[in-house]
Amino acid sequence: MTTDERDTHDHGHDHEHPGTTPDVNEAGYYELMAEAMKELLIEKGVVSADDVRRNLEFLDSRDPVDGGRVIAKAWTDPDFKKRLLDDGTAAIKEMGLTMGDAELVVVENTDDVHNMIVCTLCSCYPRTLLGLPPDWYKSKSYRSRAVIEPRSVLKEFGTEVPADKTVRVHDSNADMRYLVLPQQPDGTENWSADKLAEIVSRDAMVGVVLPTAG
Amino acid sequence: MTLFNVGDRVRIKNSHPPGHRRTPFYARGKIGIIERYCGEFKNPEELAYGFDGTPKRELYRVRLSQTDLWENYDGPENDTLDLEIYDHWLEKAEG
Amino acid sequence: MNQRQHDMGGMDADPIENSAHEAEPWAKMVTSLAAAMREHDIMRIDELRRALEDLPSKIYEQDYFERWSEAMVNLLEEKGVFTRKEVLSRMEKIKDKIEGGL
Repeated sequence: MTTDERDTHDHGHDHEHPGTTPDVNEAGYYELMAEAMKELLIEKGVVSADDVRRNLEFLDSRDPVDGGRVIAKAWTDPDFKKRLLDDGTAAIKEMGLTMGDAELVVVENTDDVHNMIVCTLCSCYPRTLLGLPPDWYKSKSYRSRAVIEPRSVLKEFGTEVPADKTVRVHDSNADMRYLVLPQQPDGTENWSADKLAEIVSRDAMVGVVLPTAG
Repeated sequence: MTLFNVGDRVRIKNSHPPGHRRTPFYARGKIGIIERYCGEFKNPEELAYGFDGTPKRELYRVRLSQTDLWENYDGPENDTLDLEIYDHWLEKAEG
Repeated sequence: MNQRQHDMGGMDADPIENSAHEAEPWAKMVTSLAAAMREHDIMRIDELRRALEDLPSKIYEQDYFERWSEAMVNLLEEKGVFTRKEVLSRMEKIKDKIEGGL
């Protein structure tokens, strides 16, 4: 929140007065902390205002649309799909996309295997392709349970995987980041890559749901 | 030449040193198969404390059977879990 | 040795809560500050993870970006970039400015 936005709030409270130390239980405590850190880091010359702005812009420009484009291209271009599975980091570079400091591993769903991604130790996620992770991905519930009871977790997302299909969990615990390449839904065989990209959801690329033609 | 090859049977060390570690608790002491070699990476256990992360460590993806990982795994025997383990956390397993 | 708080695989936990909630502007600011410091190798992601893991459990259990903020303050204090006291007093100053409507 910027100072300007906060200034539009009502200041007519008489229970608050200037000079009070912010309290951790108070609403807005962490907004103040973020603003204070930013001011101090810039004043001390640790980072520049431009560094911060540029990183904020990059963050805001990231969302699952790019991940969807990668999947749709893999569905419509078998050579690209091969390169993507072989070396994900290099293949997405062809599309002008980057992984930052990490490497990309793309895991393919088949008739025999269903893949799903978790990071049990923190919340590693292919942010440059999907944006910031959703809250559930960062939750204790998902981080704890995805490895020990993946089929129950999948059911909670409405995804039932038959017993004769392997569920393969990937714990994204070190330098790789993962993207699930789902199976292309029936009935979309003649669709363009642009149209296909629209049906590839963030959750399908994490492997907790399946894309559908509808 | 890498320390391990795809298909090798490996044991993830059953060790619990203090500090920043990227080997999940649930996988320590378990046996799996090398799924792929990921390359050499700076050691996060050193990077986390301001050191330069060298020597670099070989990173592998290890595939484990879910029924080996969890005593009461509630799913079919062919379910698996893959995770990344640095070479110094791995040892060759017999058999 | 016990399983540490951040090392969650296999712990007992509640059903998944699937809510659609966008990161707030301050959370994006914290993320961007961390990214900018990574670019200058002032704060590595490995160091931040270590600082997160070492947080008291009460704070570790807070919202994701709240614990990031706390870990960043601890780590930057350790590195001599600023002190927690400086951060708190700056927070007070900002708060006063807002309440003063300036």
